[in-house]
Amino acid sequence: MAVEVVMPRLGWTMETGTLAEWIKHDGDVIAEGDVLFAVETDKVAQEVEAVDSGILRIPPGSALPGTEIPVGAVMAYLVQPGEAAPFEQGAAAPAPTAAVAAAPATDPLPSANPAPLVVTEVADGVPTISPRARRIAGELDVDWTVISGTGRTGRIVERDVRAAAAQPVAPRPRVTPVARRVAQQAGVDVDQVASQLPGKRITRADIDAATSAVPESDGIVQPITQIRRIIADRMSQSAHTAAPVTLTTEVDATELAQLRERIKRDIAETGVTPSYTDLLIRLVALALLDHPQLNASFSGDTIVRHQAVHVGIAVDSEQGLLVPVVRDAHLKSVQRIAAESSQLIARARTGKSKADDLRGGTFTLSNLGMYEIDAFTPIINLPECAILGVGRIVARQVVIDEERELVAIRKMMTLSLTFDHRLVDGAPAARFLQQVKRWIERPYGWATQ
Amino acid sequence: MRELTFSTATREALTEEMERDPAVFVMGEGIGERGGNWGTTVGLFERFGPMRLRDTPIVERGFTGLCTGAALVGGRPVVDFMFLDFLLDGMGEIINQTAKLQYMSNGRLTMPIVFRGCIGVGHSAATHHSGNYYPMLAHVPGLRVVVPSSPYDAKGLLKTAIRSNDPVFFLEHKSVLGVKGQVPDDEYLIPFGEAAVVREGRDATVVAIGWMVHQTLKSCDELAKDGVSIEVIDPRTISPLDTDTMLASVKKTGRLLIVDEDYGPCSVGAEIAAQVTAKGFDDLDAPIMRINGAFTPVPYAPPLEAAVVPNPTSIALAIRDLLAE
Repeated sequence: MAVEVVMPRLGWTMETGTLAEWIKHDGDVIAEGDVLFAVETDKVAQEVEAVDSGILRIPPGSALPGTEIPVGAVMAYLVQPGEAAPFEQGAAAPAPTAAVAAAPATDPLPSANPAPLVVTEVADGVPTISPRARRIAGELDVDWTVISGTGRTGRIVERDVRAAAAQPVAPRPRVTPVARRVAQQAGVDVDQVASQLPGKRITRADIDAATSAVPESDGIVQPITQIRRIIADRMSQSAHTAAPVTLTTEVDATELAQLRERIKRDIAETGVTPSYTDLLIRLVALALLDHPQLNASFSGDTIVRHQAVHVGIAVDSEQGLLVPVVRDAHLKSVQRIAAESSQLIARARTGKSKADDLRGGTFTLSNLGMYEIDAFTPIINLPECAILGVGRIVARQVVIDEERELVAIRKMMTLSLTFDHRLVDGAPAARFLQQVKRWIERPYGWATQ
Repeated sequence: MRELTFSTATREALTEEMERDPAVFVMGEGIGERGGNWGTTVGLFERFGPMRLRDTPIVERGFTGLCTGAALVGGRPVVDFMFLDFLLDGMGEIINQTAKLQYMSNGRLTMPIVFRGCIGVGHSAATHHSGNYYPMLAHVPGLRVVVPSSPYDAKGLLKTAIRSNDPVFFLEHKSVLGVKGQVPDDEYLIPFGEAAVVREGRDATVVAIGWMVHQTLKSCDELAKDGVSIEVIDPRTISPLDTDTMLASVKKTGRLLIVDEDYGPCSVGAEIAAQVTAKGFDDLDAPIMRINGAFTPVPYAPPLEAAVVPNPTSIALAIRDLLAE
């Protein structure tokens, strides 16, 4: 019985996955646990393992790498030796041939021992075009990559190419190789240029002319990556559906800094020094237990107040913004959070995040302190309710006692809390921010919890 | 032109060559007064006498070596194995001496010897009398291998074989012996290494060997009723093998099936497929296919015997299969 290989759901919001590549190929023998293919999804490139064993059979005409595939769609089959894949049954052979075609399927041996009625299969794998068809496509200037084949297994054969050549399609523009390369570099659509110059052989000069006609053409044009597109969709969705309000407050982080220095000194030999972000994850998680309205999310028509606090950390990676999640931060020590977050961030930066790393957050921290940013208006990571923007810690002269006119140099920090006013009103959000502020200023309030 | 059977045509060729050259003689079991198991020498004993039609004891290695020696010193022996299967007892002599002596003497010696015998599955000849062996022989440098399918080809090729100064295997399928065909009155010879296009067509090329040429032509007649047009090529000689004719045909049709009664592994079809793929890759519109006899000793029971070799029905299926690729 053939086992279906489907596009798995790797994240709650995942509707489609982009096939990055097949690691195994048609006809490969697969053991349970072998990596079958790689998927680019929700901010993550993930390798998908086989949950069964058998021989991998990928149907002809199946999705090519780079194609979006709906979750649950059948991509291939695992069959047992000698078993025909479902797409081979009732193949397009004439009726009398079916028996012949079926015969080798019952014989687990390769055709070194062919019965007289069995045609020895010389072909291996699933070629997409016959050599002859490829040659003729070249001679007739037919783009065979866009035609479908009528040969067995969907192979493009001569008749397909000739049929395509006979179609009254617009002739393929003639483009010099240099022009094609220049056009690609400049992000210019060659076909569009050609359509304005019918019959002409497109040269570099034509591309240059088209380039100068395009405004802002001195910029480097890049295709949108899958992750960039997801980020763009998420951000605009958030900006258009949430009702964001940002509160900012200035915080004296001197004692938080001292606390961190002490921890650093004490555990220098034994553990990971917690970053400010790690300290704030623990702090914010505990504060959210007191302010459950902020640890909430929209779920259709209802608002879910989460029992647990899973804090996402905005991480800048080469691929773009990623938000790995520290799970159950309210239950974990700073040490443990530090250990976990360092791994999560390292994986995110190197593009090796696991799907589980990136899902299930209930609140997000975004720290731009290292870029010398003080206050900003972070965008809510839907469906979460709020996000806390953390500014830099900088030494400032501040009034510490107005009556006695005392001024001191303190380590100051700005917090920016953006919340979704649809879920929570301004006052509860302000009270949450106030508690965070107080705990930063007097860390023993939470560090002993 | 006259209509002759394959047997008559080869007997005519042998007679003509024996008349033409007194050095030509025949040696084998029962080829004297009896006229040969397959009638290969009927009437020749009376005409040429016992010196030139030498019956032998059942000792293939002995008369094979004897004839090899005779060829070295000016004779032109025709060794008649009756069933080619008996060649196996003389194989050491043939491969190690007959095939190599010209090379080892730097060409100072010649080896004008013909080995002939019946091959093929059919007539309940069973395991010891149904072998084909031509892939094995064609594998040996120094041997030429002829597998004709028609009376015309048989006569022209046997005359060439007898006049050749190289060792030649002339192999006659049991089932073609009675096949009739047009044969010219005048003398003619057919050179080795020239395949024959026995039927022209455009949809696919079928290379068929020996008796399979006739079986293939029958299936082509059936397919033609459906408008399927098949080109059939008879290589006629397996060594040398004329792949140019096959390549020219594949260039036209894009598809190739090799029909061979002999076993598939390491067969002539495998050789043809390799050469056509190497030289005609860009002309191929489908994988090269083969249909062969079953990889088994040949059974005696007639229904089983019939089941292990391709027939017009299975060949037609194979052709349809190829066209569906």
